[in-house]
Amino acid sequence: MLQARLISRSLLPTAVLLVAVVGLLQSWKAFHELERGPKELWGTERFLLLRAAAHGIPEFGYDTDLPPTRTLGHRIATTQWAVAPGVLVHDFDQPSILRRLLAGFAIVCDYVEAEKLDARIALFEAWCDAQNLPHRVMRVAPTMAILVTEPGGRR
Amino acid sequence: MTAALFLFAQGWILSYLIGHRHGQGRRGLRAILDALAFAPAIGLGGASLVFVAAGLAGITPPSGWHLVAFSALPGAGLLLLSRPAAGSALEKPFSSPPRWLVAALILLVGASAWMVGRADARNPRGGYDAIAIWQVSARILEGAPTRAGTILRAIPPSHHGDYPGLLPGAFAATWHVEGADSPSAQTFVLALFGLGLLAALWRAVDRVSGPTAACCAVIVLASTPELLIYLHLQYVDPIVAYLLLLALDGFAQELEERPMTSPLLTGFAFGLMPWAKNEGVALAVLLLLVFLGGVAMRRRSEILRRLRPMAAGAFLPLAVHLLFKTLWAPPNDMLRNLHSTWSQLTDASRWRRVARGFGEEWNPLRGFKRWGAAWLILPMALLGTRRERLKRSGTLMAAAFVLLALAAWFGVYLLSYADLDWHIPTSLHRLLLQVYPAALLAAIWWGWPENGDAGAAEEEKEWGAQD
Repeated sequence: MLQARLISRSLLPTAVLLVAVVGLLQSWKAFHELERGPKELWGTERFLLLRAAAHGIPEFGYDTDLPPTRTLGHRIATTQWAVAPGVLVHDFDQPSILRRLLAGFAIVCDYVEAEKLDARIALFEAWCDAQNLPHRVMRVAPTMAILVTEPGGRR
Repeated sequence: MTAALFLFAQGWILSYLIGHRHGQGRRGLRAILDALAFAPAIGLGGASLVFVAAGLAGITPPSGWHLVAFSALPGAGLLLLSRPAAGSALEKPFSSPPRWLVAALILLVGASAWMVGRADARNPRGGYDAIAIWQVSARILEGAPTRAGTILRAIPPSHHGDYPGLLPGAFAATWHVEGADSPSAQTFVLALFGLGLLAALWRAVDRVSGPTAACCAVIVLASTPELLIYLHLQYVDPIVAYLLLLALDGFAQELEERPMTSPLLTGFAFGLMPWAKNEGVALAVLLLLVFLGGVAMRRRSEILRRLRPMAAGAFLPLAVHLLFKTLWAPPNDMLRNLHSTWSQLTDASRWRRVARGFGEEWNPLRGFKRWGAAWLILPMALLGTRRERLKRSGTLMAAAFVLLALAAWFGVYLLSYADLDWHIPTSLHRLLLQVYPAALLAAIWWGWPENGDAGAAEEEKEWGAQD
C-alpha cells in the first residue's frame, strides 16, 4: 500500500515539489556565496588582461588589416579599456601593474621594439622569480610576447 | 541580446517546420515543445557552425544581420533533406498535468530564472572558464575569423585553444551581428540553451511517462543549484547536458523501434556534442557504443538502416568539428601528457582518491550544496520500479549509458596528468552535471508508470488489488 501511494499521482509530485523547494533554497545560498567569493578571481582587471591577449595578438602579431574601428588602439581610446591600458603597453614596468598580475592567473600581451621587449621580459621574469611565482614567456613575434603568471591552485 | 533572441527564434521556426514535415504525427503543443527543445541547437549551434566554417574556409563572415540569414543555412539544409514521414506514430492524447502542479512549475521555474537573471545583472561576464577560455576564443574568432587557428595555437595551453567552438562561435556570431561585444548576448545565449534543456527533458519524459512526470522532472532540474550556477557562470557543461539529452532520447526511441520524432534534428544535436566540449566526444562515442550494444542484444540489425536520417543530421557539425581539430586546434593537453598510463591505472592510491572524490559529491550532506535534494530521486525511482518496465530497451539503454559515463569519468581522473587534489574539486561536479539530466531522465523512465497519468492510475489500482 505504501508503494502504491508513493507512485500515485498526488504523493509523488508532492515529494518532488519538496525536493525542488530544497533545491531552490540551496541555489539561493549558492548564489549568495558566489557573490561573496573572492572578487579578484572574476574581477575586471583579469578580464581586461584576457581581452588584451585576444585582441592584441591579431592586430599586432598577425592581422594588420582589421577594420579601423576594431583595432586595439581604437578600443583603448574609446572604451572601458582605458581602465587598464597600461597593462598592455605603456606602464608595464610600473610595480603597481606587476602587483596586479600577482592577483592571479594573468596574461600580458606586449608589442614594443624588440630591445624594449627583451628588457620587459627580463623585468617580468625577475619579478616573478622574486615572488617565487611560476611563470612562462612565449615570444610569438619579434615585437610581441605573452607573459603568463600561474599562481598554484588559484583556479 | 537581440541577436541571440533572433537566432533562437529562427531556430524555433526551422525546427518546427522540420518537425512538421518529418515529425511522425507530432502536432499542437507537443510539436511546439519539440521545436523549443531543438531551437537553441539549430539557431545558436547553427550560427556557431556557420561562423567557424566560414573562417575555416578563409571567408570573413558577413557583417550585421546578414549573418543571421546565413546562420539559417544548416537548419534550411535539414529542412530540404526532410521527407514527409511514412506513417504517423500513435500519439497519446495530451492530458494536462494537475493545475496546482503547473502553477508550482511556473512559480519554481520563474524563481530560478529570477535568481540567475539577478546574478547575471550583477556579474554579466560569467565565471573563470567563461572569461579565460570561451570569451577569449570568441574574441579571437570575432577579431580575426580567418586566422583564428594561428592565434589559438599561440595562446597558453591552460587557455585550451583546442576546445571546440560551439560556445565561442555562438558568442562571436551574436557579437558580430550586434557590432560589439555584449555581455547581455552571452547571458542570453546561456539562458536560451537552459530553456532548451528544460524543453528537451519535458519531451523525453512526456513521451514515455506523460505530462505529470514531465512537469515533475522539469521542476527538479530547474531547481538544481549546480545547473543554475553554471548557467549563470556561462560554462558549456549545461549545453553538453542538453545535447546529450536530445541524443539519448532519440537513440532510445530507435532502440524501442518507436518511430523517432525528428531524426534529422536529433542527429544534428548528436553531431553538436563533440562541437560543444571535448568531453562531448567521449559521451557521443559512449552513447553510440551503448546503442550498438542494445541493437546487438536485440538482434535487430534493421534498426541500423533507419539511422540514415540521423547520420545526415550529424554530418555538418561533425565535419566542422573535424576540420577545426585538424586545421586550427593545438594538441589536447590531456592526450599530450598521457605518459605513464599503466602505472597510473595500477596505482591503488589513485583509485582511492578518485573514489573519495566521487563519494563526496554523492554524500547527501556534503553534496547537498551542489545538488540540493536531487539525490532523493533515485530511491524514489527504485521504489516505483516494476518488472515490466525493466524490459524497456530504451530505459535499460539510458541506465547503462549513465553508469558507463560515470565509469568513464572515473577513468579520466585515473589517467589525469594533473594533481588530483586540484583536478577533482575543480571539475568533477561539472562532469557530473553533463550527465545529471540524463540520469534524471533514466530514473524517471525507470520509476514512473508508463503511459502517463492513465498508466499511473492503472498501476495504483493494481497495487491496491494486490494489497
